[in-house]
Formats: sequence, structure tokens, C-alpha cells
Amino acid sequence: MNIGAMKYFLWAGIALLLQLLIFRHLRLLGSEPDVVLVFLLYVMANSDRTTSIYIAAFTGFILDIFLDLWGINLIAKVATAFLAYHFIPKIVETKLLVSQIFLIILLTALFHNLIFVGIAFFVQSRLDLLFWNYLIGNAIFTSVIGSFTYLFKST
Amino acid sequence: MRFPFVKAGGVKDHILTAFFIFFAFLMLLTRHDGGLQNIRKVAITAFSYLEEPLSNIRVYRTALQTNRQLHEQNIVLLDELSRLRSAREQNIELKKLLDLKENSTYEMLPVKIVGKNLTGINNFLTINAGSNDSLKIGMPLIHPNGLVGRVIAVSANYAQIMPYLNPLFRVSARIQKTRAYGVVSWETQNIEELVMNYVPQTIPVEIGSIVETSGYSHEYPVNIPIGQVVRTEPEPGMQTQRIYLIPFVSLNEIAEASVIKYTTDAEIDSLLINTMENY
Repeated sequence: MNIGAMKYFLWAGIALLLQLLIFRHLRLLGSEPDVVLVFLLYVMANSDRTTSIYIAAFTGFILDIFLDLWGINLIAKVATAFLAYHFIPKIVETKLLVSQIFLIILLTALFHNLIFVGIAFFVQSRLDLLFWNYLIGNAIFTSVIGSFTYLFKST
Repeated sequence: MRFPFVKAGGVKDHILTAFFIFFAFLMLLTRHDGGLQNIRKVAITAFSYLEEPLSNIRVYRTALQTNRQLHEQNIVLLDELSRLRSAREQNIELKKLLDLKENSTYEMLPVKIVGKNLTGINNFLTINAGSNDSLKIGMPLIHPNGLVGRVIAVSANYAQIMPYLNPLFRVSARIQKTRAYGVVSWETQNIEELVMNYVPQTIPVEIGSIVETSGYSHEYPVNIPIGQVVRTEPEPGMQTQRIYLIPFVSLNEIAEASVIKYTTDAEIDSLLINTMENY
């Protein structure tokens, strides 16, 4: 594994820590942001698909262990990385506006959450979650956090 | 950036994805097995170490929220307590009025004091009963504790009362123990004291004696308590004494009272007028 890939894994660890320790508790109307997904999108925009799948699998697996979800995050994140990869514009090629970033994160988060909620309902492991709050609320919240991060990184 | 072992191209991604998804489904199916539970235990232990410092922040945040909720609840409860206290006081007053009505030989009308003008010398009260309730000028207003004043103006639904704290107020009174007679009035210097005049110095007056209406002026029924003697002074240059008394009724505190439907006897009135004209 080269240094670049290790750097991604290191950042993935930081994103996981942030998600588990801080952002998971920043609930707003029953919705919480997913900074791990934002990081995954960053990886998808900067790296190849295989690396993105590995990072998705790693982050999904860790989240599943800590949140007692056993596979749901793993499926949702790997499927998102695999299927949405070609729709994510590469940052090195294009300079995107914040609104474009917001829309990209929103659509990807909606796709990710749809898979997540679908599997969760299928295996009945999180019947308590509020469908619309998770699907729409989380996606919007994640998009806002992602857009701010993009703005911060740009400046 | 690429991993060294994924140079096989796009097919590799499909295989990887399929593998991870298969692995995930395997985890989903075997999530209740011992192996995964052990991993979970380890994760929880590690996680609790990480979360411990942050838990203090959450405790503080929760405490702040709880504090705010308790503060709001406290305001609501204080308001409720205040209303309950007020209702209790009102209840006590109304019970006293009811007792008074039952024990009195005169017809009484319970009224509520809707206006108070106790700011200066010309003090007045307004009650929520008027000529529609058969109120007439001159009728006395009393409280279970004692005399309040008398009706001086009447409209259809309201009446104005001249309380004892008015310089024009006069009432014929007597000291309960000695039966000494005099006239009680207010001299405007002290809002807490009334003065009883025209009592001869030869009559000993004990501090604490009760002063009540005598009934001789025909404006008030007899035996309505007015106040309690606190001190006496000889009238300079006269053979009478000034008796100071503290009224039983606090005008600032009363909210309810009763009007005694008592009017002077017309025959006595005409007799008085004739006497005054002839002599």
C-alpha cells in the first residue's frame, strides 16, 4: 500500500472519529450529518474507483461495528462508491461552484440513504429510525456540512 | 493514486464490490453470533474510552437544557401558586362574608371592590353594585373584620364608597367596655389611625379596647366593629380626650365586602328636622 493510500485511510479514520464522537450527536429534527460520506465523496472525486471502494468498505465496516448495524453501512457505502463513482466530477478537472457541490452531495446522500433505509427496513435492524428524517433530513444536513467544508477548503 | 494490487482494471471493482456486499450480507445474517458480539464488545470498550471526555460536554449541555426547562416550569408553578394563594384568600374572605350574612339581622349584599382610590386625602372605593341592586346613598359597607365606609354615590351598576380614610367621614361610636360615646373620624395626618373625639376625660379608656358603632346617628347599625384603641391624649383646653384607634379593616387589602341594606328611619329623620327647626 503506498503512502497516498495510507493518507486516505488516515483521513478516513479522522472522519470516522469526527462522525462517531461529534457529528452523530449533532441531531437536528431527528437528522444527523454524515461526514464519512462527505469524505468518501472527496475520495471519489480525487481518486480511482477501486480506492474509493476500499475506503467505503473500511469506513462502512467501522461504522457498522461501532453503531451495531452489521453490514448496513458497508453495503450502502460500497454500493454508493461503486455506482455513483462515474457521476462524481473530478476536482482536478473542474472547479465547481458551492451550489453544484451541494447538489452533488445531496443527490449522492439521497442515493446512499435510500440504500441504507431500504436495507434497514429489510432486516428490521433500525425500525426506530424515521424514514423521511433519515432519507431527506440527513441528506440535506450532510450536503450543508459538505458545502461548508468545500468552502472552507477552497479559501 | 492506486493500490498496487488493483491494476487489473474495471473488473476488479465489480469483484471487490460483490465481495464486500457479500461480506456485509454475511455479517447481517450472522450478527447475533458470538464472534461478532465479541468484536462489538471490544468496539464498545474502545469507543467508551474515546467518548468519555466528550460525555462531560454532553452532560453540561443536558444540564443547561434541564436548567432551562426547570426554570420555565418554575415560572409556571409560581404563577399557579400565586393564583392558588389568591383563591385561598378569596375563599377565606367569602366564607367570612357568608358567616356575616348569616349572623346579621339586616339584609346584606355581597359586593366586589372594583376600584380603589387610596392615593391621597379624598379616598374612595368603587363597588360592583348599584341602584339595580337596590343600593341607596348612605348604606354602610362592611367587611367581616369591621366597618369600611358608606355609599355616597350610586349609578345603575356601580356605587362609590367613602371609606373611613376620608376627612369627611364621621361615625357615631362607642367603646365596648365603658359604653363611652364619641365620634370617630380621620384626621389625615396618619393613614393608620382614626380618632375618636368627644369622650370625657373622666372616663378611663383602656388600651386595646374595641370601638364599635353606637347606632345613635341612625346612619349605621349598632355593634359594627371599627377599631382598637392604641393610645389616648387629653384634648388641650377641653374636658374631653382624643382616643386613637387602629381600624380593623385594611383598605389596601380588602377585595370583597358587603353592603348592609340599612336606611335611616324616616320618622326619626323628620323628628330631628322638626326639633332643629323649632329650637
